[in-house]
Amino acid sequence: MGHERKFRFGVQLGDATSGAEWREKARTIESLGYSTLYMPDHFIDTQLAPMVAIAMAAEATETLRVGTLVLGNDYKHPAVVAKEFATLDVLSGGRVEAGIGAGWMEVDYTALGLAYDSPGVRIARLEEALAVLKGAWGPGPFSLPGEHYSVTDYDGTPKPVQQPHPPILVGGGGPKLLRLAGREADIVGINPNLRKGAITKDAIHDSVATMTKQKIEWVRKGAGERFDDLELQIRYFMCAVTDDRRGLAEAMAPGFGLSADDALESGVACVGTVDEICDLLQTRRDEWGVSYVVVGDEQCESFAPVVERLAGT
Amino acid sequence: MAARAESAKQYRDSARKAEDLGYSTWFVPDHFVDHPLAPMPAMAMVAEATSTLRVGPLVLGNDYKHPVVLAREAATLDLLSDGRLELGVGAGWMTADYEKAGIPLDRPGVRIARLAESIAVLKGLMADGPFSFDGDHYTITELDGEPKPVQRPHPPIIVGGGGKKVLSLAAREADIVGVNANLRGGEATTSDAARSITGAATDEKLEWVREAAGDRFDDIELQTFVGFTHFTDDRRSLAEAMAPGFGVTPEEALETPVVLAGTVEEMTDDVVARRERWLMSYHVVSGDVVEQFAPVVAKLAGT
Repeated sequence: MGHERKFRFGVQLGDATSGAEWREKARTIESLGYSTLYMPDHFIDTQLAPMVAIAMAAEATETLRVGTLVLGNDYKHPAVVAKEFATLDVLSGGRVEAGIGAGWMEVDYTALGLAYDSPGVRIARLEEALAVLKGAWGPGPFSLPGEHYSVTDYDGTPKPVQQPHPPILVGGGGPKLLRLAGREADIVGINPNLRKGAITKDAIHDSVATMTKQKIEWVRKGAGERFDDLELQIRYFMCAVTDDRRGLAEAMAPGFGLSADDALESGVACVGTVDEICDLLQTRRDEWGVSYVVVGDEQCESFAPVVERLAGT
Repeated sequence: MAARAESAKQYRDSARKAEDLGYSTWFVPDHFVDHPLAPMPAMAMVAEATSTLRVGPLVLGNDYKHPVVLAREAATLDLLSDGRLELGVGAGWMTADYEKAGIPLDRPGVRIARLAESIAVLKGLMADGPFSFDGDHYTITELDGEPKPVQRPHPPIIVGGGGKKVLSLAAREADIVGVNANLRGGEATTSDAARSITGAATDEKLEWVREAAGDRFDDIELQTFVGFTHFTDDRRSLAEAMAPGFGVTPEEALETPVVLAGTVEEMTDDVVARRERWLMSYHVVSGDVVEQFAPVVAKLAGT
């Protein structure tokens, strides 16, 4: 039995100026039919701390799932992260999605005074962290004598409500990371490669549709037989509901160093009328297997007709 | 202080009950071993499920999170709860936490020095404008902490501890000072820990706090966690039965600020007497006795 690949939708957001505003946003997202509220995890630019804010969003809603898109693994010890996600899973009645990545935004590391190791080291550390998460959530004590973490006879508590554990979402853009995600995650986020440590033209060019196909092959390679069980996700960074997709693309593309055609074809773009966007998402699900669609806070309302039409189908 | 939850509903209901019964604050401890809940998400959910109850960790082990991460989480919680956070931090002490999670357990002096830097980072990031810090343990470069908390200049900082060094740090830097047993042995229920919080030992701790606080002593709120609360009509017999196990006399067992035993009237008198003797006005009890202890709260809260 593979994954059903039914459409579901998430909104990624990071800001609010008060508890009342945050609560209202969460309830709006829930009422519009989205599956999940996601929060990023960065230290520069105003952003709320994800673990606290998603807990409050869960408590303010009934069925909305909450998650991180994605936690930077280097900012917290994985034993702490495991305990926080499990606590949240118990107190939300099993509504958590544990999103985690290797960490990429160099300014965050500078701000914290943390070493910005090579991608290979960060990915190796993420791989161990995933083993710590699964070990802490699993039954009984576990030990991990790793290169980066050394856990001894630790019986993590609480145990999560979702068994064997909350869905693990690993997002990334390079072959090594996506193979790891294919092996270990339940949900794989297909992203631009952020090897430059910031969002640059390199990342934009890496998000063209041909690259997306390549990335999914990397996931498949890492996943082997479990590929059919994975849920594939894309966070659409260029997303707009408009009657004039061509005009919008021509206006936006030069800023990204792309032609209008490439911009429209980008694996992280969905621009057009509700009909056009629905067609595009269905085509991509057929071709790529991507059924989990995440948009930004700004598109939450305008994108809602797409959600209404496709969610659960 | 509530460490456990049978279910989400039970946890939410307990917090609402504590709020209704007149308690000020819902505290969550921070340990990996024998303490099922992680404080940050648990406090966030309690704050969202209540309307006036304050929330706080008692206390966060400083070594488990980077202070930049902690500052952002604390400020987020304060912002989204409309200013209901009390931020408890300590140097970390439970050996089992460190060993099992694989976090290096440095000697107390190093842990306390790191806590001191951490408090400076927390205050710096919650204050206005960019903050830099060049410490032995943390290096922060031009970081303007976001979000800013609602409570200005920052949520009340609780520093708890039992030894002279950490209590002196608390006296200099904290808004609320938690006077605890000395847990230098890495465990809480040893006779070394019990002997370190007898009445006489507590007198001495208060002198340490007073000396280090100087002029700001009068602004500090003094807190204690009453780890052992037992309702009985015959507290003398209870004390005689229990005291030897902790290496203290029955008189010492009843006198220590971390024990309340007896009837509601006796407990009420003890709480009042402890404020007179040690200026302790902030008493924390275990989540297990929230209802039983409520008559004491009803009598004394706000007086």
